[in-house]
Amino acid sequence: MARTGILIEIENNAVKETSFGVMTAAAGEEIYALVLDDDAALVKDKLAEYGAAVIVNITASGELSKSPDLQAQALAATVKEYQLGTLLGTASATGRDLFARVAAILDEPLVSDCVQINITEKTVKKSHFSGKTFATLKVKGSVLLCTLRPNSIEPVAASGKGAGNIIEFLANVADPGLIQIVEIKKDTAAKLDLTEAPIVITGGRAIKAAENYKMLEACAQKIGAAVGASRAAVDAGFAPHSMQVGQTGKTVSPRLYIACGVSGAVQHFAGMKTSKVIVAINEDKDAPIFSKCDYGIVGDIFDVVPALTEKL
Amino acid sequence: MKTNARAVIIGGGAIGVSVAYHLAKYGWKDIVLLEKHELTSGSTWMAAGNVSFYHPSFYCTQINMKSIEIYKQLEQETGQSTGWHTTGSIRTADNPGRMDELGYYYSMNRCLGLDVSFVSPEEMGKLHPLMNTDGLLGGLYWPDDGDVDPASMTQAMAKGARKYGAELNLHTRVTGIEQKKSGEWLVKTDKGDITCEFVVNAAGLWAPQVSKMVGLEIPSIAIAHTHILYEKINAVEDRDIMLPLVRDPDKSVYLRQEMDSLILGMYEAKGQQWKKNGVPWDYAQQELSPDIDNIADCIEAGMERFPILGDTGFKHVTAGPITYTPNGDPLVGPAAPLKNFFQACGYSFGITQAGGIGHYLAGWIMNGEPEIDLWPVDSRRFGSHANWAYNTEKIADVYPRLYATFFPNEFRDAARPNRTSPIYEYQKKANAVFGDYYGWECPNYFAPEGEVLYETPSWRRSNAFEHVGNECRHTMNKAGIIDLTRFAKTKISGPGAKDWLNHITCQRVPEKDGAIALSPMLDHKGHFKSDMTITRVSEEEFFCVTASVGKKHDQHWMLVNLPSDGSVQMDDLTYKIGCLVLVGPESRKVLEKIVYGDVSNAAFKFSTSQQIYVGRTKCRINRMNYVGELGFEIFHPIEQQIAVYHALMEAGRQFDLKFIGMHAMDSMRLEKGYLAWKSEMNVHHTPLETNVAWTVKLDKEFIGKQGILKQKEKGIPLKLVCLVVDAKDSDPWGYNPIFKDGERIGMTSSGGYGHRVEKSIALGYIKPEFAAPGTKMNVEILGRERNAQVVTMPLYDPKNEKMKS
Amino acid sequence: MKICVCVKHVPDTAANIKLAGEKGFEDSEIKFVANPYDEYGIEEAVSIIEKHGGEVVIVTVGKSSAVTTIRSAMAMGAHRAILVKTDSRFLDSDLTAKALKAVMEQDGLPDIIFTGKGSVDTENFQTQYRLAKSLGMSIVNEVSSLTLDGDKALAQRETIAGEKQVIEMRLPCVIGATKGLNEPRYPKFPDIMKAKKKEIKEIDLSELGIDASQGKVVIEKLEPVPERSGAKMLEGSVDDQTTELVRILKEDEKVL
Repeated sequence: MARTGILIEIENNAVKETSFGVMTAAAGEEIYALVLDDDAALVKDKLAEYGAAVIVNITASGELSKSPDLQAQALAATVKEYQLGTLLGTASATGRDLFARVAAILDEPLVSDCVQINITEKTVKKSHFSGKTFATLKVKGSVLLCTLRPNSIEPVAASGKGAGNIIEFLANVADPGLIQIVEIKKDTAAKLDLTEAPIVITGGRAIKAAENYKMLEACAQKIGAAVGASRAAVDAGFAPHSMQVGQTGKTVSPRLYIACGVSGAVQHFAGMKTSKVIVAINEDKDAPIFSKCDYGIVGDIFDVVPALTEKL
Repeated sequence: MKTNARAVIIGGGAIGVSVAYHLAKYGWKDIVLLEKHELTSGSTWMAAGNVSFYHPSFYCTQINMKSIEIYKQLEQETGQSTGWHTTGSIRTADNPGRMDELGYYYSMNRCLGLDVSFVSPEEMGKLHPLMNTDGLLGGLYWPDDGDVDPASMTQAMAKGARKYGAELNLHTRVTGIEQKKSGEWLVKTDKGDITCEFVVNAAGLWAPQVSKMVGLEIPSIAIAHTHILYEKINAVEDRDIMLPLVRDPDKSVYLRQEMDSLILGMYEAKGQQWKKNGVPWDYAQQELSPDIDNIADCIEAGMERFPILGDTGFKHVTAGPITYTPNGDPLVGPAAPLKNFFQACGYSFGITQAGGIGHYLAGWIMNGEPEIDLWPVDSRRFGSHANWAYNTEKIADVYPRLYATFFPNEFRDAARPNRTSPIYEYQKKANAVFGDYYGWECPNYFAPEGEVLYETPSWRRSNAFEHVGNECRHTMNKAGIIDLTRFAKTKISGPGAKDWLNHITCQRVPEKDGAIALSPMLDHKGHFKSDMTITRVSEEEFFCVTASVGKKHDQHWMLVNLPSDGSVQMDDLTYKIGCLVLVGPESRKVLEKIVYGDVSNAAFKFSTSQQIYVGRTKCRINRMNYVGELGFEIFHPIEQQIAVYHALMEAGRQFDLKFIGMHAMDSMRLEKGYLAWKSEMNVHHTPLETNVAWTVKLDKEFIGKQGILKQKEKGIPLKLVCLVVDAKDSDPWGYNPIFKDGERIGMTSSGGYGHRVEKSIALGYIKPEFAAPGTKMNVEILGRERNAQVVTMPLYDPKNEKMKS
Repeated sequence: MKICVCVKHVPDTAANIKLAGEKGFEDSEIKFVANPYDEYGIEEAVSIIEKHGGEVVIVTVGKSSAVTTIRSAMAMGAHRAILVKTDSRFLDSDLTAKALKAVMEQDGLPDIIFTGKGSVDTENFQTQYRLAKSLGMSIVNEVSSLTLDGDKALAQRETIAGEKQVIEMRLPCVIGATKGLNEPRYPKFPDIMKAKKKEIKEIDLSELGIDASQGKVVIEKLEPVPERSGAKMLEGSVDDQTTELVRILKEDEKVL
């Protein structure tokens, strides 16, 4: 059985939920949880719970945080060192970037943003054509690199807890010196990223005014959701473009999508149709969204959403 | 989904939804609409959204007016926005022929009370500052029309439809249609079957396939139409009032404002027919790939007229399939020969007409007749010659000419000839300039040797004028042959024939063998349905002749009214019997030479029919005609036409027998005050208003009697008169407003130059108080008022002495 | 200055994808466009050259029908193009990068290579990385802001919501463009007509010694995303509905 390396994403000293999902995808494999430029000890127990046999605490000389290339070199070295047959990660913005660099270094195939993986068969499933089709791909290479779409796999603790033995690995790699992160600009109000949130609640044109998004924020806070907007709402000036879900905005695939006052036009639907569960709340019982969701409530969002928030 | 319905509408585009909305709104319960994908996902969602009053037809203009009236209040009624903007519109002209055409529209629009005015190039430049008016002679401006968002408008009507109780079923595809023994329809879908009384085919791109389910072939083919949305233009964005829509028909483009920019649409020379063998059922909401090369000429033409377009980027080029028919007008109304099956398809300007046609078609379905005469869009105006091959050829010619100048005397060459009389080659040899009448090649006039065989399209007297005059004078003085083989001919026979005919016409069916009677068929309100002449052959056999272009329409009416007990049999003789009409003072002399029998006045009275051998051919000769001379309609087996023709020409040589064409015939019938179907005889008038009131026999029952009695009681609202007009080089044609002392008192129904009386003539309906001969009034022709006066009818041979000689 | 822009010919995201067979789709009828993310690259390249002088070369790997996309890129101001022709509708990023490298070396390496952050059909986000590695160039992807200063470039990319990295890199470099970098210009008709006369050099993939069948990622199956069968509409008062919804989401669907 080949070893499966999983790049773990850590934030505020805790493993991100999405990484547990990736570990679940590798259930049954010999999992090498890879912690890069962080402290594996802090997250050892959780990683063991989700099946990590080994936890590799990767370090390198040089400023890892300033150089994606150096990080990639370190990861690539780890793959070689521990003869990992598979390297998995989350298709977050950093994950996508890092894995592409690693794949280029190793000259091995990479499939990004997958929703399913069969490590034994070396096949993966992902969306092609903006969510209109699923493609099953066969990967031919010595190492299978794959990033999984955030929240596409439901995290399930391993049936047999992993040993979780920590190994220290100082990668003997050098920064090619081509790029360097010189600054990180932070937005004070750090919101949960729409594309990574496990739950998304969207307000459509019926929201009627920008300040009414507060009502959705209140609901979102309770369930750890991100707030989105439909194109109509953005066009009407109720929300900024960065909140737009849809063909010309962001594509999301949360486990729960709640559409409030969204009519459900084709273009919006394209941006969220792979959500696991879709709930729609709309005043118009004939709104197209009701033929495309799992659960529907015909009603005024200004009545339903606060009531829902209260019950959560 | 309902399994029983009053009406099932197939197709959820603008047209289908409008029909469902109106039927439900006007009170019918159990209205079901079936849409195979989502509303608007065929042609509607990609339409440009122009909604103008303009249309060449007086009646279609009314449909458009109704649409605008509906769209303007739809948001208030349904709570759903339609995106309606009142921008007004301009139609330009860069040549004299086009200016004449605009003159016709101006006058015709005045009959409808529309606010329309002639505008000079300067005025157009003020109304539309982005327009380069170089080369323009002028234009027409309507302030009250505009544009709408097709998808929103349809959704608003859908909301309304649901509000009034209609059931709209999406993702439900019709897979078959059958007729039950009861006459009800069984509409089969992939989600279950529905039994219903009425079916409306509003399936747009798929309408031909739906028609096939009931055994019909309809002339509708899709062509990709392109329009371009430009990027934001500051000069547009900065405006306070919206720009009017502009159509430059000579450049074959239209331009309208869309938010902060402009949309340019065009009708290019090579229309790309799309999926002409059938549009795939799963096609939905898909833009086609635009072919910029194919439309480059039109884009450049648009840039000439609107220079700013050259400096503005293309934001989005939309190419989408739209259906076209052989004359660019839709297919609406009862589908012959079926009962309770209506067409509402073949639309290429569907957004403009959706609101209005939903209203009028709903009325048609609910009341049995349309509120206004919808013959211009009636699906039965195309004969059986309009099959698939004809369509693909004809439509290729129609598409680039959608903006071509409309001339009343133009007959396009494309997809011709189709039906020809056996003597066609002889007509050709005689230098016939042919017109196309319901698929039949029929000579309009005969040109002298050496002259080009082409009539210049024009609103004024054309190069044919002189030759037509010669033919009329020849008929008046000598003898002529008119080919009316295209007449629609129907045999009605059986034990119930006479009673049934008495039921279906207001006239008393002849009691004597060999008698002929002018026998109009009326609708249930007493208005003219068909212009029919009945010849009694025997107690149980009748020979009925109706207008050639009305064949499908008239035979459909007869068919749906036939009794079910088999006592009346209907046979179509149109293609079995030819008709050559011999007219003129010398006509009897010609005939005498070749017949076996006595054709003297004593033996063969006017308005009687006899079976006579003409040469070796057994013919039925009806002693009547449409030109008001001594004359004989010679009906003969069609395969013997050439024999009859030779006999006539042999005998006629010494009398200088010549061919006479349609233009001459029309001139002469005007002089006699003879009515034409769909000109004088239409859905708006009863015989009581005309000079054929005598055909109404009130001492019997007939379809329409109640309407006639009502009108008799109330008094006729309008009266048919003949006017002599002081015209210059353009004669009245029809749809000319008639004014007296500044007030519009009526409208012409047809007109032309009477060569025998040498006067410009119009027939028209006016308020009865002005109908006395001698009353002076004005007739507006091409925008100019002309003096006119009511005269006693008929102008020519008032005592009918010639006919009866 | 020389800038290459890698542009992919992809189905319009609004087009319905009709599958054909096990792993194909019908591509003859639907609307194809330039990959929307590549357009940011084209616009940036043309703007830079307008300032500094030089040429923008479009490089495309695709079927011969890709010519229409190349023309639209040239209508935005690119000067000439190279099309590497292949009949394969799905060439993996490894082979694509090899093809791009080969023609760029042949044509003369540029100062900057723009690509889109990823293509909207296969959504793999990696060809540009392989290309950069094979050419020894720096690469930053998902760039929403770019400043050039001599032989240096400052690129900004968003990592997580609210956080932007500012990355310094040296030319020559590869930039994967994304939304926010610029507003791609809409081509004007005169430019569209001019574009028809610009040069497109066509090379067959095999001429570069690349075998399309040697890809490392291969499509086994394409299937439509299943449509939802029908919503369960919740009845009753708002109170009833929301109570029931929360119960369903917590207990039945287990998404809360």
